[in-house]
Amino acid sequence: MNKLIALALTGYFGFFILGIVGLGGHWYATSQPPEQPIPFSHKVHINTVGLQCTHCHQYAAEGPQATVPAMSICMECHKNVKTDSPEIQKLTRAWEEGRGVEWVKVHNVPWHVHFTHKRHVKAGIQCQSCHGEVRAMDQMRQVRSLEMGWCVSCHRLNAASTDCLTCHK
Amino acid sequence: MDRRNFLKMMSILSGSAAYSCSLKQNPKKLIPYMVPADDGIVPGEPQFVSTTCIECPAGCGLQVRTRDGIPVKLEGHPDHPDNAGTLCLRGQASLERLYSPDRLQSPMARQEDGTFNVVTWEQATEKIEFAADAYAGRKGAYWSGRTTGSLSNLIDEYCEEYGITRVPEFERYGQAPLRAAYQSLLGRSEVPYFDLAASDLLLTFGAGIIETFVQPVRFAREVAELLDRDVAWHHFEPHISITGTAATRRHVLAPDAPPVLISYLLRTVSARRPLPAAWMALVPDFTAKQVAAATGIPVATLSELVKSIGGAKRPLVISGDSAVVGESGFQTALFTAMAQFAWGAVGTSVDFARGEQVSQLGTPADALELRARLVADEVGLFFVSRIHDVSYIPGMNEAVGKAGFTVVLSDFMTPVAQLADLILPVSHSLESWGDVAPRGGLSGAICQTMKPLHDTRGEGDIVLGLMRREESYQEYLAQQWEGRAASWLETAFEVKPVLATEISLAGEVPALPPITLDQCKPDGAWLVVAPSLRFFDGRSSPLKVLHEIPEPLSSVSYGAYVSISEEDAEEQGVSNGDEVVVESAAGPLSLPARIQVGLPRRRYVVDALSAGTLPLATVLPHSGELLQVFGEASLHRTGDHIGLATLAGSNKEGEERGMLPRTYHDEHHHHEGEESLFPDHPHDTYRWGMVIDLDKCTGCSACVAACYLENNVAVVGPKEHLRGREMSWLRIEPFIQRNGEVEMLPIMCQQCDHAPCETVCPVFATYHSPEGLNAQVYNRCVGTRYCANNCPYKVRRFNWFEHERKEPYDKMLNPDVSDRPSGVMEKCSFCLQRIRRAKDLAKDEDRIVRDGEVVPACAQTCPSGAVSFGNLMDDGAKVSILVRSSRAFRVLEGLGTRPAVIYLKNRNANLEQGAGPSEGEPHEG
Repeated sequence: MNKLIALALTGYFGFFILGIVGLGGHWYATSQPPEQPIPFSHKVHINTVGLQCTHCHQYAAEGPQATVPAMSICMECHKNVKTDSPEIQKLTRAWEEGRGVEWVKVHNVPWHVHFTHKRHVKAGIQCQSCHGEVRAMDQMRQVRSLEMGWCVSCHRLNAASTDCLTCHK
Repeated sequence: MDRRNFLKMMSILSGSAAYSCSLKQNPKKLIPYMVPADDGIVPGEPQFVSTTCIECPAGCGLQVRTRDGIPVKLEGHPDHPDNAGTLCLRGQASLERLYSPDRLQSPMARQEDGTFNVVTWEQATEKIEFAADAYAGRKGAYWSGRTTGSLSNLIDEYCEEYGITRVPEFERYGQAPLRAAYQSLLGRSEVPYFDLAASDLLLTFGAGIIETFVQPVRFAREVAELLDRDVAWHHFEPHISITGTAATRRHVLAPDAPPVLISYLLRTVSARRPLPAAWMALVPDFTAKQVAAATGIPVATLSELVKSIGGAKRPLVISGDSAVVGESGFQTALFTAMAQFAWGAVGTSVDFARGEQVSQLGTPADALELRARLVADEVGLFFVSRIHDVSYIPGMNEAVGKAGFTVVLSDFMTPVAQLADLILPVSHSLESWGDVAPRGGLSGAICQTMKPLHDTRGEGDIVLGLMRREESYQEYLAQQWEGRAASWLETAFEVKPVLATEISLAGEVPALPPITLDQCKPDGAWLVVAPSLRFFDGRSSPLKVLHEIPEPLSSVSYGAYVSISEEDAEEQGVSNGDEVVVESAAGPLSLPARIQVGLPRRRYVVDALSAGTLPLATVLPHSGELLQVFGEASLHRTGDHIGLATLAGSNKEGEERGMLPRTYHDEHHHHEGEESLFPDHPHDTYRWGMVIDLDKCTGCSACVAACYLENNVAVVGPKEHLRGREMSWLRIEPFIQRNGEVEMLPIMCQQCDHAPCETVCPVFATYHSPEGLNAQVYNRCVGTRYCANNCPYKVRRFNWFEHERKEPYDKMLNPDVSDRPSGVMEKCSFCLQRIRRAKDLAKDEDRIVRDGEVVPACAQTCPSGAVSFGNLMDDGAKVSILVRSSRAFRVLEGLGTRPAVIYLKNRNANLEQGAGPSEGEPHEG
């Protein structure tokens, strides 16, 4: 009988432990920054070089997409800067071959969401609010869930529209 | 390891394995541009490129909406003199031509076993050169659809240099009888510009002016203006068409009766310009009674017509289509031209200076001449370009096969392409450069919007390649375009003032057999082969979306069919979808029948696509046109039943069910102002509303096509249509009213204030937005379909399956609208994405949206301007003004759903009965 109870308890708690391990695994997997073709460091570019966000993400305030910088913007500096680094040589090669570097997208919104950077930037929302302390990141990763509850909490706080059709397309 | 540990380990392993599998999703890539986009171009924002539509020869101006270089929607160019911002359904659908996975993607040569093999362009050119040498003894021929502008010049250059005959161009609807008539009277083999806007009475015989006739979009636009000015428009036709139902008066007239009627009018109405005696000698003199007996048009109506023509300042009479393709079609065209001359239209509303560019256009008789040459083995190298199908001309297919080496230029595997020895794939107009000169004083530029998707070339580049010239067609055009206005590539059209041309009576009237009264049989049985609203002469049939959109009158979507009258159906015991055989001089034609309410008795109507290979063997003397109406036709059923995908239920319940509220008002009076159990929705700044003027709506279905393209509405195919699972957000319901008039009712989500769908959704996937929209949140929907069951308007559509969009078809998706997955309900959103965009722009300027800034896709493309959209909270908005009209009503008003879609209908007849609707504002938003 005791054995049966022990078995039941182990099974019961084992289920929870498994769940926690699963959640932990999920957290670990999603918080891992994706590997980029070139280990670009936002930290260096913001802190050391002193670039503004919109220097590279030029359409963040004007259009729906912030966009990754055009290759020519990278090459403005990297024609001369750190040309001996093998990673920069990757960049130069891509530029010379006339192809773009295939960056891995870090922040994704689901298929049914209409999102525009312009409205958020114009409303005075800081980039950090959604993208985190990018200036401290060597490797870009997602720090906010980008889930609906998180969006709505901020919309409520700022008295922005919470009508479904504001974001659902 | 004991059993327990083993199980523990297994569960952890399998769990983590399952988890890691779920993580394996393709990471999205961000690929940067090489250099930043040009100034003013913001990635993710739509851009507009001007170009010209070449789906039919009318040459409407286009604005292509592109997103990041990919065309996603076609719209009319707002400044274009002919289409003024609007577009027909074929023009809207022509975007699919670009992305269709069925397109020809590389040159193909026929092998010895009869199959096609992919070859390179160089190999293709070599094959042509080899064939040219091999058949040096026979002359080559270049046969194309109507070609204008620089391309025509280049083909001339090529033909001259290589000793190839450029045979007269072929168009199935090239208006040969009209050209022949003007040639006989005025010495001009032309199709003039019919200026509807300049006339104050319109009589049309057969011509489907708002469907396919010459410039249907411009005509539809101008007709709407005429109706605004209360100009009477009489349309005479042997069957029933949307042109007829749009006219103020529709008269049924057998195909051979028009010459009798027009000659009577010519003799009776006093001429403003006297006709030469030689002309008048041809015009028979009948009494009103004789004409009435022969045509079936009562004497009273005849005298009414005579009176109104006599009283009009500028009456315009036009003949075409079914009226000119019968045995006496040439006489119809001839008498019409005389009437135009006599009543002062020639030189004013019949303007040759702005006429169609048809100098190279031949007739079907020319095609038969070509057939004879082909059969006699006189043609070596044979080019066929932009001709879709000629299998209805007996022996033509076999003749094409007799040419030494047939090269077909085409974008799809058309019936003609299947006859080729070598197929050269032609780029879409959005992928190439070019120009057209559709009519006098107007030229249009074809501007490249994107690089070719496949290994295709524009026809200009193909011809330059054959000439072994180094320059590209774009460079060739640069020379041709010297001296063009600075705005040429910006607006993609150029209007040049034209000099009024001298009208001389230079023609030579041929001897014609006299018109007799006994040739008219008002009750005769006729088979009528009519142009197709959806597919023109068949060339638009590769576009799947057009098959999905039902023919407005019959509401049949997929498949060929013959329309028959109710009386015939009853006599023969035929029900919808029963297979029948129509016997006529053209031979037997066996098709499923569609009972068409409103169709006169013993008239059997098929469109060009349904007629298929029905041989049109008779070429009419004088005009060179093919005989396309056949007398003494008969009908019998075979006993088989073929399902017909028909979208409308009954055509007759419009009044009974309150879809069109005449009866409703008569019997139940007005429900407006009754108490509602539901609390009113508060609306703050916006309450979007739509007003549709049914007096202007012709049912042309341009809006339906625009909706399909704008909103990524899925094309589901005939099987699903037969199950009633069509996906259209907007449909046209044809209703035949008690007085015989036909009302076309465009129905989309009515965005009800008290929406029956909202209250039954268990997950709040549909709800009432603060702007009055009946919102549908796709990812919230769990697919109970309660909402669709509870919707009285049947406008909600359920995605039964995932819609596969083969590469590159997926590129056509509008990125501003979700691509709905299976298991989700969808419906009209009032083009939410367009509302959102207008609000976004307004917010940039810190103001609210102005009236007219939000234009849904349906309103944007409507040639008649029947659809208005705006903010009902704004008292000065166009919709608010229209809503207060006494013509306003809402569909199924008695249900108390209070829709935000308001219809306008002239209900003078109702008012006469004293049971009209209450004046004033029917909604209290």
